[in-house]
Amino acid sequence: MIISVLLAVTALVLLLSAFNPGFLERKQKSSDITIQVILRSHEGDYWQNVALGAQAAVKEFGITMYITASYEEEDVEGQLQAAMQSLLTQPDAIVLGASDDEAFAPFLKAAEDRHIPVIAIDSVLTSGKTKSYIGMDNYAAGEDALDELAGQLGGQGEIAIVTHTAGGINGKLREQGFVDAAAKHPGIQIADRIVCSGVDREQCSGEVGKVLHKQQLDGIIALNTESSIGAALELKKEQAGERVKLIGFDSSPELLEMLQENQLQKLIVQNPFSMGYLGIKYAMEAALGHKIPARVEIKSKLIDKRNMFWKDNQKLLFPVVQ
Amino acid sequence: MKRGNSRSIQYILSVSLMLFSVFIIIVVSTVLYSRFATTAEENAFRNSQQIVDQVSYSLENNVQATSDLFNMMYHIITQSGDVDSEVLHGQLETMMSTRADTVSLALFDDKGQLVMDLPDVAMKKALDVTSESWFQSALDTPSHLSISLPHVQNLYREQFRWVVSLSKSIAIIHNGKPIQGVLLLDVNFNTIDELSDRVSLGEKGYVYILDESAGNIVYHPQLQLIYAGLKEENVELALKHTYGSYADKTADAAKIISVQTIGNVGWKVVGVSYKNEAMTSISELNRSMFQLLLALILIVVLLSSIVSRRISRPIKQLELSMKNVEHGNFEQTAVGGGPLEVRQLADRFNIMIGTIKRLMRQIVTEQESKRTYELEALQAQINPHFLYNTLNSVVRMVGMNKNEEVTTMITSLSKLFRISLGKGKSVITIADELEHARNYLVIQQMRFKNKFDFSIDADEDVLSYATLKLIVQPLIENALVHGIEPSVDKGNIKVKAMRDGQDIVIEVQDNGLGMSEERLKQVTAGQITGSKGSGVGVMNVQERIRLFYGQTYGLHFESELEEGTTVTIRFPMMELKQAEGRDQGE
Repeated sequence: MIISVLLAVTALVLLLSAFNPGFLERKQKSSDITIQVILRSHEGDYWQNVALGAQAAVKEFGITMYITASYEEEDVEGQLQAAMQSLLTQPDAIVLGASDDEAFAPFLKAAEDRHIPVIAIDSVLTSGKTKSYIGMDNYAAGEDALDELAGQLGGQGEIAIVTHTAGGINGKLREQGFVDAAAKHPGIQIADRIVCSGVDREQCSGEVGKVLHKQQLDGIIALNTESSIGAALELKKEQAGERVKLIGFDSSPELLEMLQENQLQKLIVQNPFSMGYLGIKYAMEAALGHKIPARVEIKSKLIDKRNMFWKDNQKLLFPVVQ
Repeated sequence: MKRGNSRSIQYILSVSLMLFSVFIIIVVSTVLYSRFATTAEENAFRNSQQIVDQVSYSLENNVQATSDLFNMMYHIITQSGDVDSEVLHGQLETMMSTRADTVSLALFDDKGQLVMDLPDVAMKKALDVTSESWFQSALDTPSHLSISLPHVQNLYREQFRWVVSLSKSIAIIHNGKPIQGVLLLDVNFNTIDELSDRVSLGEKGYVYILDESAGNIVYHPQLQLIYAGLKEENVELALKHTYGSYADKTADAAKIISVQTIGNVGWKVVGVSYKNEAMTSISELNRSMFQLLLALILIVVLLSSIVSRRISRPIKQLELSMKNVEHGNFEQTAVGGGPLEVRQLADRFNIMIGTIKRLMRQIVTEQESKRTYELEALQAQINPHFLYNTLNSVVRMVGMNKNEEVTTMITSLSKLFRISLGKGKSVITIADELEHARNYLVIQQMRFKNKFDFSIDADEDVLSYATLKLIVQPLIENALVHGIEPSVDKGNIKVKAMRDGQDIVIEVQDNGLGMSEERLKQVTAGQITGSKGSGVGVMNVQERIRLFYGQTYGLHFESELEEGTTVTIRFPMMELKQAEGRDQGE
């Protein structure tokens, strides 16, 4: 009798399931996954490209994604708050482009307590546990920048570095790489270390201008977009673009325009689209419990006047069709 | 008969029902599935192709309209005398405004120097168009409209727009001199980009555009990933075909590639859709079918077990009832539940039990009456009246000193009793029975002072056969009482025993009063028991013979008034042992 009832119930459940697909589904599919993306900013080509890449992955894998970002790139507190809040929605994975390493320690702890995998993009995080880091090797990029500048200067010259207060993790790493590489070039002297805000190009221009007036410089390396623009604008104003070599980081239409005008010589350009795409892809795999690599390096590209309109670089430098 | 196949009805029913339904279900699902799968695949291919056709149609239209615009402009410029005229500029501006996606129109001389520029925006300082591909291809193939791949426009200051460049070499008059130049119309790539981006081929499917000549990808939603080496697009198949839908099995996930060529630019619109996506319904159907199958099997198992139980349970109950009967419990009747056949079986069984019960009761009654009749017969022998009369006669004879006769009488009496009491057996030999009759006759003859004669004749060969005890004497007594005694003539009683075929016939014949026909009928029908004190009656004999040998045997009366009566006893010839066995066994 009991067996009969059991059989009948099983048959009923199977029938229901047969007529309503998904009735018995308990297995997690990629379409059920929600991924929280926390970026440093909505503004700027760089972060927009990250978002574009993430959206491409969302479309490809059919997952759900929420993006939050602080209004200002330097707003560590704001980003941390937004990040903490997003934990409450219980996402399956988090993609984090953090603006500060130490400040995010409690967040990483909280995420770990909730068993939410965190994928760090753009900036590596050491203050807590992350599943993976996806981004450029900033230390190597700093070294490359210096090597490139040394090449431009023929191995001889006084150079300055424009760093930014909000440089955060990446800025420090780039600077470290830059300083360490400088030691290998005996002819290269680091004459000054210019600190500017990193978000305010006028202020950067001013700071660079002060130094330019103060002393003779043969080369400058600027460590992020705004400081690169600031430095380039100052060189343009001083009509020193030909004389003082400038290596910048990242790209923007203004920078590219000035690259064409030879105000700066090289740009070290990351691939934010790939970063966003891979961030989502690996976050999804982590959420599904797959094993993912602990570090995915995305090659940066050295862009100059000559190669900027190459077919494959066009899409990198001008990702948005307008 | 083969007894090996001793499986229960329930088992046979369940298994056969289940096998049958599973077979049917599998056949139906297979047919449905294969039909559905083919249709789904065809649909997937058709869908994909239709979408790609639509996209390429729109694109072709777009390109055609732009080319037309270009050609009109080209025509106007070549027709007008001087390219520097304001009228021409006005005309061209109006024409450009008819289409929203035109970005700029520029005219260069063959050295790459700008001649005319619409709208008038600042050009880049270090502008060198001679190295641009649109410029070169226009000069290389004169009178042919070159349409470039989408690229970032590198003409204007602080503008990096994605455009498609249409260019053609043109003969113009500039500053009064006829020169060769290149006309360039840049068209926003937006339209194409949006058009291709909006297309949905399932969830993950997409459309990309391929340049036929060099195999360059014109548009791809994930172009950056391809350049970064994170993705690969297999363009081989698309390059090979100009039109149609093909299955691409090179990648992990099987894809459907649909190709349509846009003639006027030499581009190919390629739709990529994922087969597993298009066939989702198929895999879902597959799973549903499987679940349905399982569910049906369960239901069939359930049903067949219920059905077979309903069939076999009454049979088992019937069996139980039969077992009860087997153990001697005849009171229980089989419960007539279940299907018709079983009910009928139960009814038949019940009827059978009824018959058995009736027969058994009959046997019991028969046995009882047999014993009663025997007892009666026995009691008749030691009838105190008969004994008293006999002994009275003996006393009288002793008084008359008839010693010899007394001896005879006493001897006869003692023999009579020896035989009739016997050893309690109800079956004796015919010889003994006749001896018994003879003794009785002897006694009665003496008592009735030779009022009658008698004779006993028996075939030698019947003497040793068996007969029921005390069947002749009552008939003789009957004859004496009703025939001889009331008659005035001297009576004569003849007893004969003979064989008649397989039967033994014993006749008791008297020449007494006889009976009227009416009375004979009454006697034959057993309505007159006719025992007058001493005898146990004829009916006793009749019943005992019938109970012992069967209804066909018994007494037969023949009588005529004043002539006498003959009673014939008929019973089958039987050895003593056999008859004794029958007496014991039943």
